[in-house]
This record gives sequence, C-alpha cells and structure tokens, in this order.
Amino acid sequence: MSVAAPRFYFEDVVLHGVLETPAMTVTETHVALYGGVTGDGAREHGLVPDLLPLCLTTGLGWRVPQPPLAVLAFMGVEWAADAPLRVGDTIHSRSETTLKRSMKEGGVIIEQRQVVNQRGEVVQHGKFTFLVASAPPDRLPPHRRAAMTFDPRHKSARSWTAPTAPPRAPTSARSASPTKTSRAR
Amino acid sequence: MADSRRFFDDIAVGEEYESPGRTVTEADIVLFAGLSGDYNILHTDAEFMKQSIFGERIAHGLLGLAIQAGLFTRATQAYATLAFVGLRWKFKGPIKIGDTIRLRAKVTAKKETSKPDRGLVTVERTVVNQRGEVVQEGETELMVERRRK
Repeated sequence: MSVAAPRFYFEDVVLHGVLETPAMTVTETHVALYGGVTGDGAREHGLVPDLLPLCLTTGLGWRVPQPPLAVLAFMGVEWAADAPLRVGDTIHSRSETTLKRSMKEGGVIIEQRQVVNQRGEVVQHGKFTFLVASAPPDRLPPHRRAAMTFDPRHKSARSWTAPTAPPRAPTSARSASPTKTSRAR
Repeated sequence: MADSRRFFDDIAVGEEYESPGRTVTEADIVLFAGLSGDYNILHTDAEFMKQSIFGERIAHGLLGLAIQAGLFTRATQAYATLAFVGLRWKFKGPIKIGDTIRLRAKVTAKKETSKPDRGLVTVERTVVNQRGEVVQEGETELMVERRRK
C-alpha cells in the first residue's frame, strides 16, 4: 500500500499564523552554485548575491514540522533588502499569513516573510502571493491528514489560469504598469 | 584603467536592453532544487507532473527571477550598483524544460536621494519565452553610485 505525502491546503492555512524556520549558514558553496546556475553574482567578494537569500528562504520553509503548502501557482513576490548579507552569516526566516481570500476553488494567500540573521537583524523582507489548492472533497478526517496529497489532476488544479496581479504596495512609485508592457508586446 | 561601470549620471530614463536567450534545462531545475531546498513536486516529480495541467515539471518561479538577474548582466554594461533596494514581481506563466527565455528591460525612473553620492534607478523587466509569451514581469529598484564631481 502506498501512502501519499501530506500537503497543506488552503483550508489548513491559519490567518496570522506565524512560522519560524530552522537556520542555515550561507556559504561560499551556495554563492558558487547560485552563480553557476543563474549567472548572477555578488557585487563584491564576501557578499551574498542580492537574490540568493530570497531563493534560500523558500527551502527553509520545508524544514518546519508542517506539510508543504499545496501551491497551484506562485503569483508574485514583493521584496526589499534591508541590510547586506555576508558569506558565513546564518539566516532563518519568519513568516506570517496576512491575507486569506477564498476563490471559487482554492484561494489566494499572502505571506509576509522576513529573513533574519544570527544577530536577529532583518536582512530582507517582503511578501509572497500564492494560489493554493482546496482540500479534495474526499479529504480524510484531521487525524489522518498525514495520508493526503495535493493532486494537480483535481479540478481545482485545472482551473488554473494566468495569475492576476498581486495587490500592490501603497508605496509603489511608478510611471508605467508591467501589465501595460505585456499588452504592448 | 578607466571604470567602465555605468553611473547614475550615465543612465537615461527610457533606455532599453535585450539580453541573449538562455535555454532553461533539467539540470538548472535540479541544481536549483538542491540549492534552495525547494523540492515542490511541481519541479521535481516528472511522473506526477505528466498528469498535471502543465504536462511536465516546471521551473521554480524564483529560478526564472534569478536567471533574469544573470541575463541583465549580459544585456548591458554593469551599473555602479551600491545596493539592491527591492523588487515587485509577477509570475505570469510556466517556464518548462527546454524553454528559451530572454530579458527585456527598460529604465522607467531615476530619483535623487538625500545622499548626494547616489540615486535610485527603477528598471521594468519582462521575461519572454521563445514564443514571445511573457512568463514573468516586474520591476527592480537599484541604488546606483553617482560620478564624483
């Protein structure tokens, strides 16, 4: 008998629930691998490339005692750098669900996330917008949730369309919207 | 040797760049999963994804974002960047194994700051695939050094 891996569905997400991850030390190896895959590098030796902490924070969330979120689509991210991160620094992340909006099937959640260094300083922060699957109708009772899985074959997965814009930050100062650009091309 | 980096003063609003193409491979996705620790089935389970709306594994959204950052360095001469300030980004469609993406970027704003040695540059970015479809788009803000008077 096979037991499917557990998933964390839209219904399981707790509004204002906070998740704190274990920490990891960012090494020269991370910087080298990241540079090799992406072609993006650090501005100066000893610094961690700007987008690497953002990339590492998604995996940190896999090390918490909660099943992975049943993400149908990663819709958007707004991200800001507060302080430089250096090779040898140890980071963890802290996130809070700040919006949970039910859709016809599944729903949108917004997660505010901070990347924190070994001195407790926030080095980067921002928010992620995800489209998350509903639990299947034949979902098992809570004590057997560990035996459930997110199934892209489920009808909630088929309803996926090009994501709409995540809510914009009120501070956004801009001259043209990216949506306009895509229409023009 | 002269500093070939482009300073705040050199960059003009309206400038546009287009990068070379970059084919996203299975190796990119496997390495990025290993590096980031993000093993979501969307990116790692080929059999499962055959049954999905995508029909196959897709690249991590953040892999596309990171690759475009690499493509930016190949699209224009390096900026004299002092700091990455932030970004706003939307994932519009999947990047599949074998897709070739390129970056189109445009400087949309320049803003002086309270410090006389630097300024804020806003770059609007669009990642398109080989069919011209926009797969990701957004904008980044960079703090760029000014030329010394």
